[in-house]
Amino acid sequence: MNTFKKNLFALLSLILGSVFALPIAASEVLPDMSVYHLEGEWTNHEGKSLSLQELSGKPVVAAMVYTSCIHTCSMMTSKVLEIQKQLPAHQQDKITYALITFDSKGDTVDALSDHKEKRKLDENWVLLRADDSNIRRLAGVLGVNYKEVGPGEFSHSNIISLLDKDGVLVTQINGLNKATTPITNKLESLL
Amino acid sequence: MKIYAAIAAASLTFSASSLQAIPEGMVKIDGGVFTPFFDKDKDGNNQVLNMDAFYLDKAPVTNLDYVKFVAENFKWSKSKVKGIFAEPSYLKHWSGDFSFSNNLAHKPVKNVSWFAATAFCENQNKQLPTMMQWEYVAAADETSKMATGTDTYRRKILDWYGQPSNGEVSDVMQGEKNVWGIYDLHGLHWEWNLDYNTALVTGESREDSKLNKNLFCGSGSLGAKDKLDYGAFMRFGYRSSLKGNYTVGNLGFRCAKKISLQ
Repeated sequence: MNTFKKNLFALLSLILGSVFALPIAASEVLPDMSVYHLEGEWTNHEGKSLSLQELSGKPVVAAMVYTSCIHTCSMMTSKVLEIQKQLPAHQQDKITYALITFDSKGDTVDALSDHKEKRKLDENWVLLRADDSNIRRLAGVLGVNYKEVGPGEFSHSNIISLLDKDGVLVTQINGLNKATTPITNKLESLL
Repeated sequence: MKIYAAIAAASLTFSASSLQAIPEGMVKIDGGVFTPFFDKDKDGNNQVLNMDAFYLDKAPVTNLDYVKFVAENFKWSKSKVKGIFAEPSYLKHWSGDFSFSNNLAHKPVKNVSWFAATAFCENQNKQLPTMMQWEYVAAADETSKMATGTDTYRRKILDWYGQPSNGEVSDVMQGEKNVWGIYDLHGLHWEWNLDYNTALVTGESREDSKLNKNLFCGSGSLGAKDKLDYGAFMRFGYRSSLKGNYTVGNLGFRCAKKISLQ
């Protein structure tokens, strides 16, 4: 291709790109196995509503928790913190750390915001809540089993998931006693 | 007199609005007490559940019902569905996005994932029945609401579970209805539940924070209320093996609906 053709091609792509960029639904460009195909409204710890797709662009380390629990969930937060701390400082900011609650009633925006403050989670963290239907769908795509065993008390799998920048599940660790290396090793290759 | 007429009119209006019409194709399931065989509280006692009343579809969703949904919600067609929501075998018994052989129209739809079944029900302002709702209704036979203890109930279900599932099933609502007026909970196929993913048996039991040991068929089963209800054990074992995007040849669904208080 000569330069003229190259330029013409670039120009055409630019025009076509800008014409077609809007009508193409975001779901069309996401990979088939992206978690971000899940529609539905979520709310973060600041009370801002967002779609899961707004997490795209960076790898995400995600865990499903509920913040009122005494034992396991705070350990889940600790485990994700451990992953963050293991990364070199310049990489820590290139990742989103997401905690998603099972507890649509107890984990209000205030409860999530308190948890973030109490655990000293930095600006790379996002804590999310939604209604039961959206929570169940997300648990479904992440393979997380859970059950409300009493008011505001949940049994659940202790799974931490790594999603790539398009929301495709890369790897998971299942269990608090597991090494974090499967996630930290993969993270390096995603950055 | 005028005052009485007004009161009568007001009370008529009141009773009319509090008596919500039963949605078409559904049956009202009265509330009641249910002791599921498998579920124990933290101290190992049987749980006695107070079930609220709800509506349940009389019959499983058929291929014809499902194709109407797909026609209006094209993202759930075979060619458009996302892999994260359904395996490649989604609707594999259909020849195209809207086509299947005529004799399938009134047979239960199968090869549908939990995500697809959930979307179908939500599209009708319904939801999948919970495991407890499903088991509560499935505990009935033709004459009794709580038949799980009887030999005939047990025998009928085990006879069906013992049959190979390779043949084509019959159309819906051909068998006997149970005492609630519900068809085909046993006998045609298995059905999705809303909370299919509550069973904390991952194969690596130590990894779960609070393992529901009662769902194991091994030692856990010794604690069950009714040791002879093998059918229910089989259903729980089956459910715990499912993932949300699985599409299976003998797994369909029906929908339930909350009864909203006016």
